[in-house]
Amino acid sequence: MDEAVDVVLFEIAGVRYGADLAQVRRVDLDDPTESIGFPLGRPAEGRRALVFAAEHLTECRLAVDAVLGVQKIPLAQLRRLPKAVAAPPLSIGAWVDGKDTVLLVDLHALNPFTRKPQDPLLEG
Amino acid sequence: MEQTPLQRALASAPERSVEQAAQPDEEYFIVRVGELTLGVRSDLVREVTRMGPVTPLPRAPSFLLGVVGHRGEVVPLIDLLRFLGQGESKAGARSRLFLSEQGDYVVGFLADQVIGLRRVFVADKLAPPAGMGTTAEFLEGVVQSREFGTLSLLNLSRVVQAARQKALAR
Repeated sequence: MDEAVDVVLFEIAGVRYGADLAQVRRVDLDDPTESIGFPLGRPAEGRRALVFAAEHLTECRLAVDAVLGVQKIPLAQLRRLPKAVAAPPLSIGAWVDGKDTVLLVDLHALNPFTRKPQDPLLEG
Repeated sequence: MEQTPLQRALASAPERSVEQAAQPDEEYFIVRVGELTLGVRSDLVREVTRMGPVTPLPRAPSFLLGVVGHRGEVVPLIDLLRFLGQGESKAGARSRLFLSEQGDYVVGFLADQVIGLRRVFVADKLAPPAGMGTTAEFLEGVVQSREFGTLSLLNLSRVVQAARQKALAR
């Protein structure tokens, strides 16, 4: 059987994103006071939040419009982002879902306090 | 039997046009983006195809519209108008994606319309005229064409290189 990874799919302002399930602690109602801001753009409704672990046992919340579920994605459908034009550090790859491309993000990199300047994976 | 003048002429006729043999030419895809009509060297274009869904990249430069999936490959998509500071493209029914492969890099460009292939005599290429602003930096020259008027020939390699540098600098 092909290797696969569990990815949490979510939507912000009509765009689908994916994140490693291992990074997500829970899905919660959105609480604007605890949100890390809008690194992937401002949600249209923002009713939900992905809660993920941050440093020093704290938690971060990313406001999203909807959590679409968890998908087991075969490795064969995962892609690194093209190196012709370097992608920002938030985006670590893509899932080729038929005609659509879903951006995969590193939730830790979304946290403004732990964001790295550049992801070496993306340097060509 | 004695040859006719026409037969004698045909016997000594050249295999191909003397004018063409003496004038090397290059093949260009002619594309329209906004008000610009550009020539793109055909050997740098891997494929011309219809636009698929574009996935935006957060915090990317404005000229980088996002990525598109094409035959299982994830390809960055550049808006030439934004890159050249000439406005912005709007994807429509006639919009096409042309893919350029340069070494390890595959980059997609959005074109409002791909008109077709044309041959350009190398000797007809002129330096970009003054007053074209930053666009001139990304041209390998211009040619006067009956069909298109002044046709700008894009230096696609320089565009890809500069786009990459601009993206990295962020």
